[in-house]
Amino acid sequence: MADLPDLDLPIGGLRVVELSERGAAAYAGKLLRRLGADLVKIEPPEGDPLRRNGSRRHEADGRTTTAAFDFFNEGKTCEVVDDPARLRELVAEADAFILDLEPRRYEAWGLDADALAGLGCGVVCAITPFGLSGPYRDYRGPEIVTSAFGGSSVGIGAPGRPPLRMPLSQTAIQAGLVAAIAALGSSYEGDAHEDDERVDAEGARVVDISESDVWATVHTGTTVVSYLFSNRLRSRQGRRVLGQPYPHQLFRCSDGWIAIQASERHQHQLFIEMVGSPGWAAERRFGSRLDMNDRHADEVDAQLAPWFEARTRQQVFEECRARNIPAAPVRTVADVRADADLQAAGAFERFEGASGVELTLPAPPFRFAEAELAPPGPVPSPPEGS
Amino acid sequence: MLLQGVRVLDFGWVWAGAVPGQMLAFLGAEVIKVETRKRLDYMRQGRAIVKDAPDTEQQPMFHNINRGKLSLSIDFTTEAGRDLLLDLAAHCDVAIQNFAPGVLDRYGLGYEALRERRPDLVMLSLSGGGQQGPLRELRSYASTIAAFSGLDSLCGYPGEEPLGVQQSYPDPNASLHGAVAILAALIRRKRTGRGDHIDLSQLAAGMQTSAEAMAWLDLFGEVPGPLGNLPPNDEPLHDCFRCAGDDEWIAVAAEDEAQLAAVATLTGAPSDRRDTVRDALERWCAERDPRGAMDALQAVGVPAGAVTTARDRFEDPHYRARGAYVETEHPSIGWELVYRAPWIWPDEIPLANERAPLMGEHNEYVVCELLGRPREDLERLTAQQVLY
Repeated sequence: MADLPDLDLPIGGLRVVELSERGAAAYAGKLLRRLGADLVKIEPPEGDPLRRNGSRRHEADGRTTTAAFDFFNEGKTCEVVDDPARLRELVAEADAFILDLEPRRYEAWGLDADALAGLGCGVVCAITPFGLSGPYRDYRGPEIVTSAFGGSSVGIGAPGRPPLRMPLSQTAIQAGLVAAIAALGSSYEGDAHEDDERVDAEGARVVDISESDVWATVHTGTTVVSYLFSNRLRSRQGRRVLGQPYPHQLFRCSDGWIAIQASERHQHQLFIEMVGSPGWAAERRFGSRLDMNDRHADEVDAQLAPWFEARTRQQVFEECRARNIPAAPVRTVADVRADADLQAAGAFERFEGASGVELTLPAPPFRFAEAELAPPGPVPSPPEGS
Repeated sequence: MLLQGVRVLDFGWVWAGAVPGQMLAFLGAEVIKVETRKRLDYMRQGRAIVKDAPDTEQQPMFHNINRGKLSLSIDFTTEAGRDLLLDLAAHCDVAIQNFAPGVLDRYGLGYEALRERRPDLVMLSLSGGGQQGPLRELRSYASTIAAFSGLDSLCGYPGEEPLGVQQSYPDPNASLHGAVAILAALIRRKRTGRGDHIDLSQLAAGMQTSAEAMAWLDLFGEVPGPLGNLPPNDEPLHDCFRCAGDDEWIAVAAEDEAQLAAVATLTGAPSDRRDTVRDALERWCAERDPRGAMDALQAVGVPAGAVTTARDRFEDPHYRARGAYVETEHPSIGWELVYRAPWIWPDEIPLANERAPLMGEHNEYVVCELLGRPREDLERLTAQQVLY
């Protein structure tokens, strides 16, 4: 703990060291820094690999960054480390050490995945694609691989065509969240401001965080037991989901798409009323709301097409809002950033990226009534000479 | 250890609201789920699996996302129900709720009311568009957050119109952000003795997942459309390939020329040209099952992963070895599998409940043990359908 933590920041003074090559530790570090942690980002002399690869690269005036690197690393303080002894020194002083090296990369840092407990900090959150144990522990796993193996890709795409990965860096975000939870949970117990200081003579607590497991548990885990009982497997259905009451899908309007999900009975009825209570909607052959979705959706969609195509996304959205039917237009990220309500709510913040470009990106999603967040800051430049 | 001794008053329901409390339960907290038959948690509803067993106890989805919790069944729209919950709040450290903004306040159970009974309470309020401002009234599900946050616009085949992510990803995404915020506030409370009220917008959490694409607007002056399996940059190979069997696929990424050459050698491609290797890999995959292809590609240093269905994950030796799914015995439906915590912790963290609770299973514990009320109260409140 630092001598005088800022008590307005939720975790002011908590010391966190981040070693990131694939984004996950960097997203955890971003959240913890904004919550008040004293964060040190360790980089090799050639820089975090995410500065060049793993996300779309941008180069300007001889400066390089990627979109994900900028988002994950705003405001951080970096220390360039090329000596494993210095890494150990930094980590030994920390409350939490979060790293996301693939197992094959441990040696380059003078680390041993099986001996992380000897590092002497409070907790080590070791993020890897497949975990620190099990037959695939040494396998490599960029986003497209963990998204597939974790069970997300199987549901994105059209029937008969290739499954699609989760876009961008979702694995990094989700594994980073889990690492942040683990680091905070561990630090809550070990926080030195109380008398119950943890006895840590045996060394650091090592939490094994597999990116594939993160997908396979809290995200897609519920589908496993559903399969065992209902024999139902999630599959690619284009713009809808099977096994849900109609509608649970996107509809084409005159100017784009709108998502509507009317899961509850009364919402379904309100939906049918909204589209003009057509006579066919009451026909027995459509069966239950679930049957309407799983067996007849194409036919129902065709019946509804003229109604939707006669309206804009915004018009349908407003009709849905007037009836409390959950709906939202499919917006591009430019639409989202132009949303005046979000702007007024302070949902965006500005900072300078590592290639010198001014960025306007979403602020962290949580607001505390009392505590404050640390402000955003410029993305650190790459180490000299990298 | 960890959160042992931390008690959570958990009004969270459906999916996004249920999982923050579960994360705290996985860390050892005692999480009391507050629910009622008067308005059943959507996740308790659905088709029965076992005839003659209570319908509310037969939803595997519910059993997954509420594992580890206790259940207090109580109608908080009654005065007696509200009073009991206010008494209970005095014994709790954390409260979680994801009703539409204003609902709990209307029943006298909002943050201010709870804080009167527990001045250092940490409370998470999660809603579609946050507790304040013009988006406060937004009614949302995960599917609408995916559309509204921009994520859906990025899912689909490149050059075509968007298909959307078509899974409830924005729910657990919001939950995990919520758990981070609660734990941070608990740490501050330990230092300052002060609680806090956290306002978490599910839309704002969803925008973290599309933020990287927003950076494209500034960096490249482009509005990205569906990204499909496109590589992040100029990686030579980055796609899903069809394998032998019915709708079986594998994701393969050759991230540099050395990996491309390894794919060429493995598949017998006549040259290292990208299109030649791609053709050879397509033919090679078509003759193999995804797991075998994954092993063979990874053995030569090429990132590859089977596109798994729920069945694949259930049967997979790696997930088995790591215990990603645990066997539990549920009183209503018997044996079932549920997911474990998203980490492997070095020392086992005891759960307050090894499975999801039955509706009202812990009414007696809460009323008689925690609140120290006489048994007659329990019986009377049950008869009056306050505990319901």
